[in-house]
Amino acid sequence: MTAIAPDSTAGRSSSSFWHAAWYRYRRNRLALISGAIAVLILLVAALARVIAPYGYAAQDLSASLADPSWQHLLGTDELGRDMLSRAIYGAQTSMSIAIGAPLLGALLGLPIGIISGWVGGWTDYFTLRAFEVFTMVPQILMALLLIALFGSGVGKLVLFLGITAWVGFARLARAQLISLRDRDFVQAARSLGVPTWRIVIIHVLPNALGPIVVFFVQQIPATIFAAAGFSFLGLGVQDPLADWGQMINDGEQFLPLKPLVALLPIFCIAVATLSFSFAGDGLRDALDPTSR
Amino acid sequence: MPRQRTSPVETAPAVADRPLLEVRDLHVSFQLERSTVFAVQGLDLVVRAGERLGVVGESGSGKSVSALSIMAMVPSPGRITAGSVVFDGQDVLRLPTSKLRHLRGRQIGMIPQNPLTSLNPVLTVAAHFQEVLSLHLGLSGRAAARRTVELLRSVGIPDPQSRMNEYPHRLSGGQRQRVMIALAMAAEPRLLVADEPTTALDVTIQAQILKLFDDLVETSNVAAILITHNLGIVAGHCDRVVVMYAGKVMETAGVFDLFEHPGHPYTLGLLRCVPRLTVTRSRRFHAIPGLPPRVTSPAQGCPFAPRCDRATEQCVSSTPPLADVSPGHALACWHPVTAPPEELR
Repeated sequence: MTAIAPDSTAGRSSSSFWHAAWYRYRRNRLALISGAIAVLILLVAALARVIAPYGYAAQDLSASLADPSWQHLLGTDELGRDMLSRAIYGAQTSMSIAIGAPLLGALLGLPIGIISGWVGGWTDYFTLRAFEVFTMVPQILMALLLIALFGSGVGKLVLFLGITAWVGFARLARAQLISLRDRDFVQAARSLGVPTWRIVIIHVLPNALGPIVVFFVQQIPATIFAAAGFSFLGLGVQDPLADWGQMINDGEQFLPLKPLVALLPIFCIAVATLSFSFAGDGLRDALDPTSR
Repeated sequence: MPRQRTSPVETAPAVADRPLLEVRDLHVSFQLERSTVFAVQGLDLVVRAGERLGVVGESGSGKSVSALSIMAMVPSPGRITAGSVVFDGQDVLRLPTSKLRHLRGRQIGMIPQNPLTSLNPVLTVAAHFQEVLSLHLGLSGRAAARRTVELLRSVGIPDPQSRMNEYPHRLSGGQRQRVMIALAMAAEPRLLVADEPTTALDVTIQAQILKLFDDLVETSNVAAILITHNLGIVAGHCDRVVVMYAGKVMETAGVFDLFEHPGHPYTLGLLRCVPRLTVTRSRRFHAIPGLPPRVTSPAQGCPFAPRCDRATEQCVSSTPPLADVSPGHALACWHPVTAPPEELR
């Protein structure tokens, strides 16, 4: 059996699917703007080292809690660290966790969900029981427990939030596979002698991709929130690394005196979660198979 | 438009009289939560090379399940409980999955019931063909594209060069069925199974599709099983007919024989259901009373007995065997019709 030339088939079909989705997405102004902001945040996060005027740990104790000036555009915190730079490095931390954790969750959950939904029977039965066991403990509590046991840090947060996020992806993939596996075009492909692995990968998965992408993007704001929450409680990212949640924690005590120190990271979290949420909603509308 | 068949697997003359497909005593049942549905109960079918066999029956008589059984594709919770399907000397039901893949699509092509949903919405028409051509014939790239254009042209898709790069939703229902037929024919199978290929289509398109089916069968010398509930279609497009009811063969005969001398009361009933424009308006539209049974226990007696106006004690108590009444004409009835009523003449 010769493999089909991957160039033409796969490339052309997916590009047109995304083309149509992009057309629908573009007409949704809120989603378009949110998407642009989300991309901007990602860029800032990726280029933090280049953009930030100071390092995230650079202290200037003589200028502690300074007001905004040309030296420090958004002022400094109690240790005289530049707020703008810390907000930018905070974006890097937040985004690494917010993208990394769902990515890990997807890598773990999707194969489980796909196998469970496609094979059915006893395999499916056991996966469903696993879902139930894992949903019994709330994701945040589970991650909290793991942090308590194994300590924290960016890498560990990604790991803990990731391995607790697999259930959502597995559930979604399973549901998609079940709804697709008895469709006529799957039967037709089987009647043409297409091997099972090809049916799953070439015929079924692309049809399930839309909802999975949407779910992934919708996981991002939730993870930003969760990670910021842990850091705020002192369980997440540790000083001197910059993180929005931890910056709120630091600035909270100066709220009556210098509100900007706490308000800036709050504003960042709000903008990031909102833009990723609206972008996710926009994607959902654009990729919704029922509107096709 | 018609093309020459150039298949390397032409049947050798020595085995020409061996049937291409032989189904013996096939039983298929569906195990549901509380009951078992016996969808096919002892089906016997024979298809010879180049022959067109029509399978007729009402909804739920086991036609589609039989068709799927031929390719060992009965959907769960259905199971083939007994019988054999022999295609060109190999027992299909005993083949491992790896061998089955080379049977499906390569040896037996299937035209689905609903062309509107049988093409993958995220793949272009060309991608569907590339897949089949590569899997079964090892064609790829230019060669596959060229063959795709040829195939699409042979089923009457206009401007195949550019149409093949479109997505299925851009094609009309009739065109999609043409594409499905071309796909089924792509690897030059020796048997074509068409499961009510025209039910989802407009009447005008139905005629075109059946004409196409006829042309293809004729030019490529492929054997075909045409499943339908419409005896009118069978009359025009088949050589031999099998009448199914409740998962059993009621009658089988050459198409002319069947229409001239229908032996089974059920066949007669079906024939009387075909509307005729030539008959005077006073004749009432005929229908067989009742519904086909949902068989949840192995049958005792003739399954048609409850709806049959010729039924006797014997029909209820014992099952009539499928027996020859004349060469090539067999029927399963204790009280066959000898002279068809005047109205059918």
